[in-house]
Amino acid sequence: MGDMKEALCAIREAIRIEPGNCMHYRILTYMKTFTEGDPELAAMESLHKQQASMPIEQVVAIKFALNKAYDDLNRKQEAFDLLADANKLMRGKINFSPEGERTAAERTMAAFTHDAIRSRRGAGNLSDQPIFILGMPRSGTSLVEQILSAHPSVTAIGETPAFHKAVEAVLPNYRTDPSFTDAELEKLASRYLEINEPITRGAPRFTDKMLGNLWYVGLIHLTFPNARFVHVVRDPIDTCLSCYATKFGGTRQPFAYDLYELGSYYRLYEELMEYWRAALKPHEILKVRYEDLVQDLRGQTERLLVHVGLEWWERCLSFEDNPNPVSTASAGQVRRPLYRSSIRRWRPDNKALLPLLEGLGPYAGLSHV
Amino acid sequence: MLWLRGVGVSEEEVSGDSLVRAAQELHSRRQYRQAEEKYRAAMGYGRGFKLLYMLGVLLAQDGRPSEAAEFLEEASAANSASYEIERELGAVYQRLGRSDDAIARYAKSIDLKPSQPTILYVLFELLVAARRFEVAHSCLREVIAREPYMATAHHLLANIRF
Repeated sequence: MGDMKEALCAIREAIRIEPGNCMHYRILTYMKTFTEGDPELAAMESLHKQQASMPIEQVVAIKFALNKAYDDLNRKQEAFDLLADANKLMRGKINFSPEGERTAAERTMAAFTHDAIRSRRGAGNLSDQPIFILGMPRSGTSLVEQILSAHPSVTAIGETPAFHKAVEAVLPNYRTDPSFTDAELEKLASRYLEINEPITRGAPRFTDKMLGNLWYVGLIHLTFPNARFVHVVRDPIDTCLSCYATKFGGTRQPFAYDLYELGSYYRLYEELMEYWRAALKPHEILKVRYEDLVQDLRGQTERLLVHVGLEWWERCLSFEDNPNPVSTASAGQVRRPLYRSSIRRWRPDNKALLPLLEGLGPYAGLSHV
Repeated sequence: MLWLRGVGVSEEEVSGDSLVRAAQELHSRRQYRQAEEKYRAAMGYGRGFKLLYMLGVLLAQDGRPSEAAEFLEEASAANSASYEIERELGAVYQRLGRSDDAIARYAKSIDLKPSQPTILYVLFELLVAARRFEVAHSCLREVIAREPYMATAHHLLANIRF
C-alpha cells in the first residue's frame, strides 16, 4: 500500500485544513527528512511555543514530531530532551505496573513448567500453517515479517490479537485457571485459524507477529506443535531507545514511556523468551539477530526459510518491494532497502542513560557499548 | 390502560408520547431499568424507528449488546436512511466481536453522512485490523471527494499510503 507521494500530499492537505493540529505534523515527520531552514520545521517550532495553551495530546505530538526533525538535523541532545518531556507527559496518562507484568510472567511460567509442556505434547492441531514472530517492538520483527511474506507460500496477518481472542472464546477463565483439555486445544486451534481465515484465505503458511503472543508461547506450542517460532533480537539499548522515540498508537506498549520501565520490560521479555526457548526443541524456535540480518541478509534469509521449511525464494531479499501492507510503526523502514544507521544509534550521556541501564540489568552488558 | 394507574403510573403517562418523554428523562439520568420499562410500555402504542433506536441505545449503554442489536436491527429495517441507527449498530456489533458486520454498518453510516470523523477513524481501524487496506483506501478517497475539507480523512489517507 506504500505510496509516499500520495501520503505526503494527503498529510499536507490535512495540515492546510487544520494548521494547528500537531497530530498531522507528527505523521509528516515520519515521511520526510528535514534540512535546516525547512518551512515545515519553522511551523512546528512555532506550534511548540504555544504548548502552554494546548491539550496534552497535542503537546506530546509536537514534541515527538520535533524530536524526529532535530534527529534528522543531527541536533541529538535537543531531540532527546524533547523525547524525555513527551514521554514523561505520556507516562503520566498511562496506568502501567511493571510489578504486575513480572507477576504475570511468574504465573505463566508456573502454569507452563517445562515438564508440563513436555508431558502434554502430542495433542492440538498438527498444522504447520502459522509461523509466530516474536520480539520486542522496534527489534526488527516487521523486517522478518516482510522477508517471509515475500515468499509466495506465506501471507502476513500482521499484529492482530487473534490467539488472544481464541483463548478468550475457548478458555474464558484462562487468566485465573490456565488448565485445558486436549479437546479444548483442538477447539482453540480451530478458532484461531477461523479468526484468521478472512485474511489468510487458505494460504499454505502465514506469519503472526502479535508481539503479545509472548505470553502464550507455551499454550501456542501445545495448540500447534508443528508451528515454528522466530525470535528477533536487537541490541538492547538500540531497541529501547527506538521504542522511546516512538509514539505508539493509543496506549499500546505502555512500558515504552520511561527508560527504567523500558529496560525492565526488555529484561522481562528476554527472560520469558529464554524460558520458552529452553522448553521448546531447538528446531522449533529460531533466534535471529537484527544486526546479522543487516550485515548478511542472504545468509539470514536462508536460515529463516530453512527454519520454517520453505524452499529458497530470491525475492525474499527484495522485501522492500513486497506489496504486503505494514501497519506498525516500522512501515517506513521496511519499504526501503536495508540501512545500517539503525545499528549503534546515537546515545545520550551516561547520566541520562542510567535508568535504562539499571532497568536492563544484565542485558545492558549485551549491548555493543 | 386503566390498569396502569393502579400500579402507580399517573394519568398523564398513559399515552405513548408521555411514556417516551418519561423514558427519555429517566434515560438521561442513567436510570436504565426504569427507562427501559417506559420505552417498552410506549411500544404498546407502536414500534416506530425512533423508539426502537432509543431502546437499542439504552440497552447498549446498560451493557446488553445482544438485546440492543435486536432493537437496532428492527429500527434499521424500519428506516434505512438513518446514519445514527447504522452507527449504533456498528458499535454494538463491534462489542459483540462481529467485526465484518460492524464494518458494514459503520461504512453505511459514513455513506449516509461522511462528516463523522470519529466514526471514520473507528471504521479505518477496523479495516486496517482486518487488513482490508484497499477498501479503506477507496472509502477514504470517496469521503474526501464528498467532504474535501475533512482533515481526518486526509490524515488517515496519509497513514494508509505511508
